[in-house]
Amino acid sequence: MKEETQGVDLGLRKFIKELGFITGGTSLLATAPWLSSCTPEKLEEIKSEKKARVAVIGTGSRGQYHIHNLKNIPHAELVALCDIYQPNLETALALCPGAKTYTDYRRLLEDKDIDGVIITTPLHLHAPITLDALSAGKHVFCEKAMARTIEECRAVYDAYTKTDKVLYFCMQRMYDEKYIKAMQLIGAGLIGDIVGMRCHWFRNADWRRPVPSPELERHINWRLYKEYSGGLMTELGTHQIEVCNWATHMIPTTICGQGGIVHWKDGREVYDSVNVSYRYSDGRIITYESLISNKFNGMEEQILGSKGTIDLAKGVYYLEEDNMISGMRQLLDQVKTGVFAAIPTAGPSWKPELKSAYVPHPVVEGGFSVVGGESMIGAAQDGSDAILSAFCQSCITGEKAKDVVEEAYYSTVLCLLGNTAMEENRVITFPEEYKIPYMKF
Amino acid sequence: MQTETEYIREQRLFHGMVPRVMGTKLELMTVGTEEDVARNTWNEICADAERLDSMLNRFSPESEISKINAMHGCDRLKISSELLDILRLSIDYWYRTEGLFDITRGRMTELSLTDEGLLTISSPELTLDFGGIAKGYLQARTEAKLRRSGAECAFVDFGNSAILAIGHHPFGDSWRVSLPNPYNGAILDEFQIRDRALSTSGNTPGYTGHIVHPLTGKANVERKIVSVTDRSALDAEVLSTALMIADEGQRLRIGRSFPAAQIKTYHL
Repeated sequence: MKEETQGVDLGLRKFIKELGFITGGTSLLATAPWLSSCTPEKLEEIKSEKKARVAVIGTGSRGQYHIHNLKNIPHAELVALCDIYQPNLETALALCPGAKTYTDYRRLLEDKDIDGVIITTPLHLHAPITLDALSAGKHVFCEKAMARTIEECRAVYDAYTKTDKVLYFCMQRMYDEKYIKAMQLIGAGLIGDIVGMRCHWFRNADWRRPVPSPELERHINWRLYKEYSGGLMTELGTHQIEVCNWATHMIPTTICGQGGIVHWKDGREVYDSVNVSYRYSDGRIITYESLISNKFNGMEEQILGSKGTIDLAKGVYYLEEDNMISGMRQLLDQVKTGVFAAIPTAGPSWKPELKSAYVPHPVVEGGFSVVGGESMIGAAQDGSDAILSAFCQSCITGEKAKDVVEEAYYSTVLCLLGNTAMEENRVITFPEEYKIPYMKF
Repeated sequence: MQTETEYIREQRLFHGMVPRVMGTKLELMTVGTEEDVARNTWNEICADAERLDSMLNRFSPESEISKINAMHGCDRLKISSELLDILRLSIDYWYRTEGLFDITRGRMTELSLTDEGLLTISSPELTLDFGGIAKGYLQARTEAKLRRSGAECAFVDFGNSAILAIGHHPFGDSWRVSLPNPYNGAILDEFQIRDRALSTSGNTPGYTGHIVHPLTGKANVERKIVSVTDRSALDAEVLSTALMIADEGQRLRIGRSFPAAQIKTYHL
């Protein structure tokens, strides 16, 4: 395969090009301004230059997922790996045999041959490693969520505003073609005014990884323990709350919710069932729900409009007026049976029937990737490859991706506040000291 | 474009349906036309609908209209000849409806066309919306295609609000269409139409306020329906929209400048 035909994110770049981002595609600029740092034209400019030399810190399943993607990014070179857990480090090294290995990320950060780091560690390490890496002059790509606590989120955001290094959080929906296109359709008024949002992520699995020996339980199943994890809200909710804010261009002001350990009573500390409500100042509400002992509802992100509904996760939209009784069907029956009668067809709009009668329309014509949400690691072509490629491009150009940190900041803080609201069983008002100059409340 | 068709040879009955074009559903029935003719005509109509949709759809960033709207003003811009035709028609209707039919939402005076057909939009806030004329324009072209194909009995339903009846029902002397009250389902009226178009505008419980008065900027929220039948599908479409927001004096004056139109207003 020739190098120019390689690349994991060619679809997105083709999409950007088709929409004429450079040549006056103002709607795309308004919908997804972060794409301006990774246009095909800018990629062309750096082709002859050196590759981004990157290192992966945290070589578990998600780290390995990124390693696979990195191998298909022509402008990236994976030069080092770091993990304290030897089996994962060895597995990752087998994927990229030439890479240097470290067991202490601080030593890795001293390596002058590394331009940027990809942090795929348990959540509680995101902020410390991100801050240390920025201090060490490295560009940083960190998995979501941003950090384990809102204080850490603020510290990371403040550091970001002072550094000239680029910082990405893996909010892959921001780089997923069907989401971008859907946001354009919402902006153009397809579904009318946004009146509410319903997002949920349902699985039926215990969220556990096999543990070779008991002392590794908290280390390997870090997602289940509050010291390391924010549970379903930070692991799943961040993505879904982010897209709601992206759609409304606002940040919710009040948060309330309830949660519990309903089914997986196995010593875990984080809830296996959460239900959180976010209210914007204009009254609109995000209803957020996640449960991991029933998968009937799957993963959906419904933006509800006065004229229709877009399910961002599925990449389809439904229009309120689609539901109709077909007068033409009656007419056909008449002609077939020799009857001449009036058909009740005239009218300003269609009659509603049942929910099941809504017709799904694809957001993107032709084939596109829909992620079911079952995987704990990540799915192919969900935008993760494209955002990683954009990061590697930024490592070379030094150009920050507009709004990515801000989107990650607010979605993480909101999810952490959701946890607090559930744990303390109270309505929380978004704290003033955690507001940053991005979007309105 | 996704379409569904069926042909029943015994009755020489053709039915074609596009579930979604120009924001609504398009259906055609012809009776008495040979299958190959019916299918060819249907394919031409679909191609036409798709082409017009991609030109006039302001929700699609690639459409000619979206590109013009994204400029936020232009100076002597060359536009496609068909768009120019539609624009000229729209301006003509604007005059004939005393400014009530307005593709610019009250900014028509900030739009001008040169004799050579070059478009100037002097206000960055002016955006074009052909939603009120697109269906009628497609209906008019569809009628021409059907007549050229020799169709003598044809019925076109474009999202219920725009209906075209060519000839008559195979078992009657016209096509009979009733108008249900969208608030309770009761039948408000029945039309017997032959070689005429029927266009209906109004508010419904689930969809109110979509017609905006271009001069006041206020959305019409009256429980009201206006139905217009006319030989011209275009005239019917434009009139039903404009008359939703016309006052009594305007209604009478505008009605006089469309002498072929039969206009009915229903207060619900």
